[in-house]
Amino acid sequence: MTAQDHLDLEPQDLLDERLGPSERVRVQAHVDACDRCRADLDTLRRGREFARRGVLQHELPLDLRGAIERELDRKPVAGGRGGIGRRRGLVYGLSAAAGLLASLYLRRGHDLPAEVIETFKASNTGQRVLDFALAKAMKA
Amino acid sequence: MTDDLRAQFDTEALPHLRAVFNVARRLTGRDDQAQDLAQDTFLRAFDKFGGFTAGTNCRAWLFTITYSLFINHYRRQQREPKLVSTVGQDPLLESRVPAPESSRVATPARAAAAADVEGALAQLPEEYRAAIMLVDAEDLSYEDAAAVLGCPIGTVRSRLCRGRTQLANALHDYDIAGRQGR
Repeated sequence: MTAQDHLDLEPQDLLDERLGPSERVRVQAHVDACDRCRADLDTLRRGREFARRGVLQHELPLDLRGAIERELDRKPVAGGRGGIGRRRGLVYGLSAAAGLLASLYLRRGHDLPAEVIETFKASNTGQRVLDFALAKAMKA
Repeated sequence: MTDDLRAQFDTEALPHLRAVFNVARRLTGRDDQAQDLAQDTFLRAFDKFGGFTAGTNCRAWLFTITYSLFINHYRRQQREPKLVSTVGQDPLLESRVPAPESSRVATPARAAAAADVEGALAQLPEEYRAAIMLVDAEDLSYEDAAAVLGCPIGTVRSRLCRGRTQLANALHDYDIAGRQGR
């Protein structure tokens, strides 16, 4: 790499100490030799220091903590560790109800596969003649 | 059980209230919205506390909730900030980004400098501001910041680079100690 191949994000990696030993040596050597990359590094350092030291640390508004604690006191245990949340409980309940209804519906309806088997057995033994009305209707 | 959970939440989460409020303040730019956002963060956090792994970075976890709430509920109410050419000498900027009434700083000179830094920060694109706020102001790692912002580490890296550069250029007239007339 020559001094003309300017670095992109590596000066910031150098600044934030995110480079391995060999990379650090390579980038530092480039920065030492390249005015533009050194200027970029200086700009980044200034920006970082402004953000670190220049920003205001806002004081908490009076009673914000109290307001939060009061709201927490009113909340049910919904999302507690090991507990079942209200929404999840509702989903479980609805799923169980749907399963129960489906089971009841199937039990009271005809068991079609069993009826087909019985009809076929009866036709084999000559007790019953198969009715092909449906098949004919479909062909027509 | 309930008392245990609440006590654990009070011990692990509530001490980060000021940090959450500061992040909310910088995201929204307004004290009233920051209070609402901070409160919503903690109520949501309590609902989700079952999913939090004790011993991990609770502050970063709270920031994730704050940022998510901001993106989904608060950002719509925000007006896009207008770009200005100079910072600290623009009366419009002074009226648009006032020094917050809840702030406490040591000296008037430092207050003015800090307000200018806040003003310059407020003018950055939201993505850059969020990366700077988390990594530089709140001292999160790139990895934690990426988790909060829901983006790859490389994206945090590039946003941070552009944001720091823009911030330094906007505050060209200041030295790092906050004195004007560089």
